[in-house]
Amino acid sequence: MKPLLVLLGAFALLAASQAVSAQEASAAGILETTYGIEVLVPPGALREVYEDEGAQQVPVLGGAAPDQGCGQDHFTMNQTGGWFRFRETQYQNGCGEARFTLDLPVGTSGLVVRYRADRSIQQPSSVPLAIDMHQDLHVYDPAGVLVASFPYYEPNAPAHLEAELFEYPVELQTGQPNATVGWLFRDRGQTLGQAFVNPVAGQIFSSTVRDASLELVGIPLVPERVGSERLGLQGDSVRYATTVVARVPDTLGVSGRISVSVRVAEGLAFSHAVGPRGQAVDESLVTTSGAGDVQTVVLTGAATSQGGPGLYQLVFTSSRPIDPSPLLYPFVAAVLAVPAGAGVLALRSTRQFRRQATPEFAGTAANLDHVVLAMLAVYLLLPIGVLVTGRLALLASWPLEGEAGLVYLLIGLAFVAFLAVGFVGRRHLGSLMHEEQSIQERARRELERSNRELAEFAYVASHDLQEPLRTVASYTQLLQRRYKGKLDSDADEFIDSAVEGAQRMQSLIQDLLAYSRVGSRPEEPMPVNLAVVVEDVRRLLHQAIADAKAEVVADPLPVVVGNERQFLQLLQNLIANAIKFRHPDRAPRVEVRAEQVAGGWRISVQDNGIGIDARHFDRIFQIFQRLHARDEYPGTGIGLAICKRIVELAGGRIGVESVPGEGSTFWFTVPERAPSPSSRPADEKGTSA
Amino acid sequence: MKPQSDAPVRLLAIDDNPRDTRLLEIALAEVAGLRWTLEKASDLSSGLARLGRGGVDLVFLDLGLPDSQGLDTLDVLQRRHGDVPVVVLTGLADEALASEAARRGAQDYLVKGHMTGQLLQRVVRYSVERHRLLAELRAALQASR
Repeated sequence: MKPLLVLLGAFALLAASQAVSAQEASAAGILETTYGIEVLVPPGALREVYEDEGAQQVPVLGGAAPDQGCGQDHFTMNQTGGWFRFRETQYQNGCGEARFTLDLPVGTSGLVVRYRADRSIQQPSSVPLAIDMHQDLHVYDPAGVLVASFPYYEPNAPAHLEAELFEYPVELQTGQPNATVGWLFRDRGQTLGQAFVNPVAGQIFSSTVRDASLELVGIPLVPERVGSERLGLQGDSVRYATTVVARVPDTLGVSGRISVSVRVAEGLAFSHAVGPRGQAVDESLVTTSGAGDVQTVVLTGAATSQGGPGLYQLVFTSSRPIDPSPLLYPFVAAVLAVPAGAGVLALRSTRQFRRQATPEFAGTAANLDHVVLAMLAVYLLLPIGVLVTGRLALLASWPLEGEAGLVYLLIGLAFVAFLAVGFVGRRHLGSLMHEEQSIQERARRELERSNRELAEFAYVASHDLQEPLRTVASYTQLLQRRYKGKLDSDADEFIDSAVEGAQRMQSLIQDLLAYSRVGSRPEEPMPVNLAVVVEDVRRLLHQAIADAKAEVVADPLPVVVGNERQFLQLLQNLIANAIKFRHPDRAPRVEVRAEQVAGGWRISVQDNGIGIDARHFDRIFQIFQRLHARDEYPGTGIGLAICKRIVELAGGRIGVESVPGEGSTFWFTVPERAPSPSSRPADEKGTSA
Repeated sequence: MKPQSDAPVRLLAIDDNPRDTRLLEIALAEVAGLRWTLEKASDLSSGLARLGRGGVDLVFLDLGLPDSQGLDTLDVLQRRHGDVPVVVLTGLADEALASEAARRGAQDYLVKGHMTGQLLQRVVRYSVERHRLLAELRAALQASR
């Protein structure tokens, strides 16, 4: 685990250092971000200023000279159509100025005033008059002090001039918050003291200014309004998008005509512009130009007049080829290999578990094994795929591009999955199995304990019962011997009954003792040749066989594992029964056969005796159950119970098939592996480790 | 010591069950031509005490005594009074027990409840006789060294 953590730490450091440099790179393309706003002077924004230059004496024949200056009734301001007009209707002196004040965005470095103006003088007579009509552009500072004046029509300019275009750059003070421009119209002719010899009425001097606009230039963008975004992979390169955001202030109350100019380094290509409401700006309304290693993009006034004031985004894209770091190749190889290694280890773990699994868990263990194998096979497709599609460089570059992130995520998931399934899952199953085993073991020990206790009880009880029973039997027999015939016949009968009863009780107790003794001393199971056992039984029962003229034959019998004494007792009981319950009409014939079955052997003892009714099949294996009267056939009915106990202790089953009147076949099974947990506790501890 | 044939055989029964001892007595009574006396002790310690006073020709020893169980009883008796023949009495018909008892020095082995006069006669006569012979043999061997 530790080397893995060290590897991860190294990678993290490397990644961090590369991330920092990448961030710088993306912002490096933007060289200069300024924008300019061209402000149309709307008619409603103008305010009239009248300068009072003092009363002028005008020698007017036949009339008194007015003593007011630029009077209201002498000039009209036409508020419609984006223009304003000064008009002097009399030969009186007059002047008027239309002013416009503009708030300047912070950092505005320059101002250009543009407008069209014309002039027109109409004289009713052909008498030439000296005309001194001035038209000036005034610029005021925020305090209202005149800082610049541009005469755009000189006094001696021709009488009629049509809509000439004027453009004046204006210097601004640093940090100037606003600027005021004014268009002045002044008629000074008569004030110069010229004698006005022939007063003529109906002179009209007029000047019209239209299409006025103020262009604010060099407004810098606030730095954080530059954003960078990784767009993704394109072939072997990564595309970035850098967005410059220009805010067109709406405090100016203008509806359009804003120019945004951005200078960017080579490598950044203009992509598109987005208006304030998220609408794309028409390509034709954007102009780009390049000079050397610098590109300039202008969002023309036409574009912004459509979009209105607000945030405009200019998007530039650049490409950077994928640059894998050679240092990372070994790391990538290691990272790809780690889950594979984890998978192999997980597989080994599940294989091992499978070998140890008990039969109940064998299926689950096999499934787990297969799952891990499948997972490993699927995972291996990943590095193979990476190599085949040539994406190794992608995995070794930082920052992670495109599928690289996904691949690393998959690798991580695979690693975790292997851990989960192969180790955690297996451990969980292992503890389940262990639990199951210990439950079974406990149950087995419990059963065995109770069996043993029962046997002990039966033994002790019958043993202790024997003594008083012996006393009764002995004394009643004495009575029988000494006083038979010496008392009356009733007494003889009473004594006989007592003796018989006592004897019967003695044989029952002895049989019970024999039954309880079965398996009371568990011995190490050994190979037992059943053919030899049958021979021993033949010898033990030779008298009974001879008396009944019985025939006892045996097929080839196997060697089984178990307790020899018990098998002797078992076969002796079965064969003795076969002879005992013989058919009166024929000589008894007993056949012992063996048949191999799943997990062991099935031994059968077949006779041609009296047979057993099917409804007694279960009962006959119980203690002291007899199907016949005591005087018909001898015995206490313990024989088959003992057989059953022997067989079940050996882990097998016992049963009978019979046709009444034809014969019976008693069978029992002997398992391959005799269960004897009590005699081998050490072994069990070994396998469950 | 040669017992005189008409002197009664002096028997000691060590058994905690008086009824069993009574049965022994009754069986002995059925033996023809045997004169005997029977003393009784109900546990091993009183039996050993009686043997300590001498004058016993044969001991019938029950293996299930209150103060001793099984063949250990026999061992104790043999150690303390090995000069007296012992016939073991038990309620179990166990061949293994019988051969083990004989190996440890008992002259014979009787199953209670299966004692007849005939059997007893043989047992008593032979046990005493065999024991006497053995004693003579040992003495002869001892003398020849």
